[in-house]
Amino acid sequence: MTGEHPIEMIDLRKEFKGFVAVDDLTLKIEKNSFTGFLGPNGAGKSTVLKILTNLIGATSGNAYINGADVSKEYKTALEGVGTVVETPEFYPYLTPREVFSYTGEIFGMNKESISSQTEEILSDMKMAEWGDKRIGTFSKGMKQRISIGIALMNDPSLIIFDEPTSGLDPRGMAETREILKGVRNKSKGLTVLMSSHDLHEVTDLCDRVAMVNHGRLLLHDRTAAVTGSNMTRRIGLRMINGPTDSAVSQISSLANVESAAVSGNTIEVRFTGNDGDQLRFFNDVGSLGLGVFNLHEIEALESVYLSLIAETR
Amino acid sequence: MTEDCFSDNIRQTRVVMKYEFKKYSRGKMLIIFAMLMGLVLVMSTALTWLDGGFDNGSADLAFSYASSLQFLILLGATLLVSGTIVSEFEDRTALALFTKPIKKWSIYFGKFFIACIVGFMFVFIYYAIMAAICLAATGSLPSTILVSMGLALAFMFGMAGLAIMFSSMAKKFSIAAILTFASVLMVAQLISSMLYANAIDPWFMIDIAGASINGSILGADSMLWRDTAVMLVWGLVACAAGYITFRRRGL
Repeated sequence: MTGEHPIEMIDLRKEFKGFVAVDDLTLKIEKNSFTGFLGPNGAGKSTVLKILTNLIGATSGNAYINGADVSKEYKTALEGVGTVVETPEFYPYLTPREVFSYTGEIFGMNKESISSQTEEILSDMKMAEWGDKRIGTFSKGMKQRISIGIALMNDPSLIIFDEPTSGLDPRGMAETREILKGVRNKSKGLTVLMSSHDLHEVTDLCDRVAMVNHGRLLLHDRTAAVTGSNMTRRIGLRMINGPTDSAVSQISSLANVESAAVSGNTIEVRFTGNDGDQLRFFNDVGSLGLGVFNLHEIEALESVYLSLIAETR
Repeated sequence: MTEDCFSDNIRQTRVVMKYEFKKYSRGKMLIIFAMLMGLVLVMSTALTWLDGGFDNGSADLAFSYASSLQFLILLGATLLVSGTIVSEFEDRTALALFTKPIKKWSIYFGKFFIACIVGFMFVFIYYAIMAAICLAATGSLPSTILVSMGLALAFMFGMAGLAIMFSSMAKKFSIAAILTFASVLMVAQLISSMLYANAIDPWFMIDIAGASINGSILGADSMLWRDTAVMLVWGLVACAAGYITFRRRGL
């Protein structure tokens, strides 16, 4: 392995008593990318991330981090890696400062580095005032911020997040997402692999997307290329006087429209085409004079995701 | 840093020990066990006083305290050691610790060593109090008290090995605690009784070897080295079996 890609998986396979969770997966994560790792429940995402972080072993195949084989030399492989797998818990009797020290000492950092890094992270995570309180009293959102802080402790070149906003309330999700954006903007030369069910989150944060189902890779490309590709999209239209049959009929006859139907107080349009076709469609809708005051794409990534998942069902 | 950097692995073992000690010092189990030990000491003192035991020699007095020690060490291993590995999985703290660049043996033995140290600390304290009472009541110490303490330390080691083995195997702390407690209190004693009944000397059983803790005070046990070796072997073998289980255990 050259170590050219921070993460390389080659023919990676994991079976649990005959059930194939990861099916000869080959995937290389680009350097300095923020890659969203998508797939339905049971697709094998968490299993892959657990293999990468040495929580479980692969049945066959290889996983490399920065050129080091995770199964054979996991200590070297995880040296420059920060991880947040699921929602980890922390020893409730320790404080965030102590947990950061614990992590720093495991990484072999000196006292000065631990101290300065701890203060910086506590500030970035908006946890400075909680630094000396025992973690046992923290909310799930606060614990998740601590876990992201721990992942940053050793100034990693690669971070692996497994559903970092899963199980959080809307406020916790928004806070965690802001922190992830901050991580992305602040750290140059950082590679992130993040599994998520939240397609909006992935579109918002990730510049690359990898999709898996049944443990197999379905797609791996730039997010912009995936969402701007010539595939079926869903577009929602809202009108001043509400949706009417006549409006549905007129919209159905426009170019590139596959179908149009009323969905609640919205007309939902299934549309095939690229970004240019979509612009033309918006202009055409405006010229119909239907009183459309809101036109929005219903998560382009979701459309691609659903069509790919449907194909491999 | 290389994969084979042994000194770095030792350094990380010390880090695990340091934070495990914090866990003990701030956790409830240490307080519960300290209270139980205090209760045993108070009850032993009260019963000895009621029985007129303070008028006997220092060896008899020490014997009355040492007779509770085997059970107390069993309780100590159950409360202090049997949760040490299983709690990482049950409480999901493993997701944070095991994904760091640290060898599994650094985690395992860091936890085992500090559990032994905490257990030894209690044994030392118990013997210190016992010695103080003997000195105050009789003006002398039994010459065998250090031998008995050495055997108590060996029993603590053996029990810690068993407890960490069950901790590596069980899915819940409660199961690990029951297995640790029942393995010696019931299973080992049952096996020993059956062996006795069939005219086989069960010297190799940990409960029989552990009985030398109080027997040695009166100089009644002549196979002290064998008993010590039995307890140490139980500890080492169980600890090694626990490590193999722990290494193979996934999340």
